[in-house]
Amino acid sequence: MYSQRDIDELISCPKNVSEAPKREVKLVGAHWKNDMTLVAEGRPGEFNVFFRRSEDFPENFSIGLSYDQKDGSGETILLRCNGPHGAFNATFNPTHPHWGYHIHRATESAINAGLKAERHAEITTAYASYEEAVHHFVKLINLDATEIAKYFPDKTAQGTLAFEGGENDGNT
Amino acid sequence: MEILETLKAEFNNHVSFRSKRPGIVQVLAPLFHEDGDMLDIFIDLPADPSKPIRISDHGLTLMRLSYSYELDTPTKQKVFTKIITENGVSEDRGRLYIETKPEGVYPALLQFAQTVAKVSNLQVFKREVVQNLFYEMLGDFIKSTLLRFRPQPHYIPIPERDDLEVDWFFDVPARPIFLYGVRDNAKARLTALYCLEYQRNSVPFRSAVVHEDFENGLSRKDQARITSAVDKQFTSLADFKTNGEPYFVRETQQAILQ
Repeated sequence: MYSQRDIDELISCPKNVSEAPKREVKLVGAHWKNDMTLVAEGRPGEFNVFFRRSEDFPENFSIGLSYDQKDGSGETILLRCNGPHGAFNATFNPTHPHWGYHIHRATESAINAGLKAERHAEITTAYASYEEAVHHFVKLINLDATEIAKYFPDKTAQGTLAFEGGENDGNT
Repeated sequence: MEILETLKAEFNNHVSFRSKRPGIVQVLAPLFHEDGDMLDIFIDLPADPSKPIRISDHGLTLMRLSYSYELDTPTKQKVFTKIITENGVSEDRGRLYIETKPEGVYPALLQFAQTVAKVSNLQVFKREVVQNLFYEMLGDFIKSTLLRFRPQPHYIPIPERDDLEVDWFFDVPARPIFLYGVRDNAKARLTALYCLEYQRNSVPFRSAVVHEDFENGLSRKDQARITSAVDKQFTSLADFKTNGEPYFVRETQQAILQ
C-alpha cells in the first residue's frame, strides 16, 4: 500500500537506466512499442517504462512508468502521458479529459478504493505531440540527464526519439 | 447517416460519434475501462453499401493491454484466441473486429464491447496473481487428497521460535513430514534456512518441497541450496498431484516396517 507521498516520490526520485530502450522500435500487431527498465538508488525492485503508439492513429499514444517492488505484489502503474484518444460527450461524462493530451497519475485514494491506481487523469498543456511527450515524461520521472541526452536526444539537435527509426543507442 | 442515427436512438441518445478518419467513426459511448478511459470502438463504414459494416478497435485494445501484459506465450495466445472466438470477434494483425449488417450494428457493438472488456482483463493472469494461486491450489490438493495423513497448516516445531513455520505438517509415524510450497528464490532460501535450523535443533522430521516451477522459477544457486537442504522435492504442482500420495504411502509404510 502506497501513500500519496510514496507515489510522488516513486515518480520523481532520480533514476538510471538498467535496461536500455531498443535501438529499433517494434511493430507488434497494430502498435509500435519500446520499453526500458530503470532503477533508483536505495529502492528495491525496478521501474518499467513503456512507449506505445498506435499504427492506425499515431496521435494515440501512451508513455508510462510502472513500479515493481519485486515482493510478489505486482506492478503498479504510476504515470502515463497520453495523447488524445477519446472525445467529449457531455451527456454522460462532462469532466472527461481524454479529448486532449492528458496525464494519468496514480493516487492513494484510487489504490485505497481498490480502483486502478492511475485512474486519475488531467488535461495537460506540457506537450502537444508524441515527441514533446517523451521529453516531458523523462523529465517528470527524473531520469538521469546524461541518459536523457543519450537515449532521448533533443529532436532539434539530432532528430532522434524513441519512435523515430533507430537512432536511439539502446544497445551500447 | 441513417445507421448512426438508428444506433443513437437504440442507445437512448447516450452515445455520440466523431469522425476519426474518412470512413471511420469513433463511438463515444458510456463504456469505460477500469482506469476511466473510454473503450476504443470505431465503426468502419464501407464505401460499397453492400459490404458489411466493421466494428473495430483499430488495435487499441491490445496496445492498452501491453502496458502491463504481453501475449508472449502460446498459452496466453490460446486464452486470447479462445475469448475472441467464443465471442464471435475476429483479429487482423492486432486489430479486433466484428462485421455485421446495418440492422445488426447495435447488438454487434454490445457484443464487441463485452469482448474488448474481457480481453482487457487478461491481465488478471499476470504471473504474480497466478503464482499466488499456487499456494491455494497446493492447499486445496492437500485438504482434498492427503487428509488421511493428518495435515496441519502453519505448524511451529520449536515453540520458542515462532518465526520458523512449517507450511504443512503431516503427522505420519516415526518422523513427521514438513512440507513447503516454493514458488520463488526468496521462499526457496527461507525453506532451506528453516530445514537447517530444525536440524541444528535436533527436531525429528523429514522435509518435502513442492515447487511451482523448479526448472524456470529458481536461480541455479537456489536450486542447489534447496536440493542440498531438503529430503524430497516435487518439481511442480502437477508432479506432486501425480506422485505426492504414493510418496506419503511409501514413507508411512517404511516407518511402520522400521
